[in-house]
Amino acid sequence: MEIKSALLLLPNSSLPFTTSSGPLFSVHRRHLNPPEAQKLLPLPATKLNSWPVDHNGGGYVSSSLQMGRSLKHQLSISPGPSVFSPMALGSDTSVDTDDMFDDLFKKYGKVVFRSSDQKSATADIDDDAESLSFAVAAAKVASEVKAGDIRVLFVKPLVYWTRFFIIATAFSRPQIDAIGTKIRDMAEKQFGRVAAGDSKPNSWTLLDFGDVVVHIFLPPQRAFYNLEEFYGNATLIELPFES
Amino acid sequence: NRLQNDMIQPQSHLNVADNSRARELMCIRIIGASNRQYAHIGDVIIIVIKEAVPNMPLERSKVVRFVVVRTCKELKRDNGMIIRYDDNAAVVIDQERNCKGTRIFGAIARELRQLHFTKIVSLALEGALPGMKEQKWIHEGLITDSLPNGMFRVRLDNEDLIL
Repeated sequence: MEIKSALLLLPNSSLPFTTSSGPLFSVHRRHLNPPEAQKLLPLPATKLNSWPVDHNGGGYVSSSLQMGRSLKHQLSISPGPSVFSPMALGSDTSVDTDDMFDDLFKKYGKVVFRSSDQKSATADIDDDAESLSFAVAAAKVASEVKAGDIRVLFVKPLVYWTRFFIIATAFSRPQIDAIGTKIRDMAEKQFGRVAAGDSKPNSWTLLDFGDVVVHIFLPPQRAFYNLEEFYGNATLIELPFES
Repeated sequence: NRLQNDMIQPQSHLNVADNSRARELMCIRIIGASNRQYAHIGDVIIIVIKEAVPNMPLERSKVVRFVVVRTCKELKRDNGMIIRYDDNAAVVIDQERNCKGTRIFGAIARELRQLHFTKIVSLALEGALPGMKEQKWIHEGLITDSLPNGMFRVRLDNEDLIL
């Protein structure tokens, strides 16, 4: 297995919480040879930064953004020591080394577990497109009811459990109710989807459609929870209408 | 590292998994049937705050509702996966199931979403413990044991997982 250091895959701007202070660091990436890659389930590393603590100013990499696509190519990012960061040299050794991985592979064999329902890349993109159309339709419905500040965020790279977030502001509880019911009706008629989530209007009403989650806030709540900041790395989807 | 696996019951102490500035909690009651004994992940419990950061809205000896998000008692899933955390932790909620805190720390199990606590999940940075099905990346786990029935015990961050 060759170990390459890759600075390219992770543009600096997309790394949350890590590059606050100077030193550029490289990430060791283990590149598996293609024939082996089919058989291997990488046991690689991702350690997410726990918010808001910053570990060692760069020892851990948030690899969430690129992993979805790159996993298909069986690449892994090891949290292994960031060689160029002076802070990581003497850092705590909760970071595992490549040697340890090699040992584990030798000891237990290469294939540990493989999930059998990982879809091919094209099927995934189709699903995304479907969810996107649903998300945009929901945002449109919300704008018809005069919701404020509608945002559609593509959170799939950040979060595994859903694809899109829709965040909207309603200015009164009856309006929240209205937005909620309109979105539900539209979902049921056009897309045949049922929402889990709040049935009674709430100052933060959430409609969970599986791959699309709709958040409807009252203005003070929206400021309080500040989800846009939390998911600041998600790409904003352009909406074809004025909100 | 805890050796006992107990579920949450009255008098149990829990940690706080959000940034609501409480520190140590004690369970006094479990919401549900009248003499419900134990709480697991996703159950709402009544808590008295034993220790809190001073001068914050949540004060010591205040009685509040919390949702259990992590337990030392293992959580079993239908696909055979067993998840066990290193601590017992809970998140403060109000009567409408809204979180009072703004961010959730630590791993959160997928079950919370199915129990209609998607809000908690959406405030959690580390997402939920990825089931093998939906995870988009693979967590590194240090294999600690090889169990006799052909499964492995894997240690992830603060959790054990038995595959």
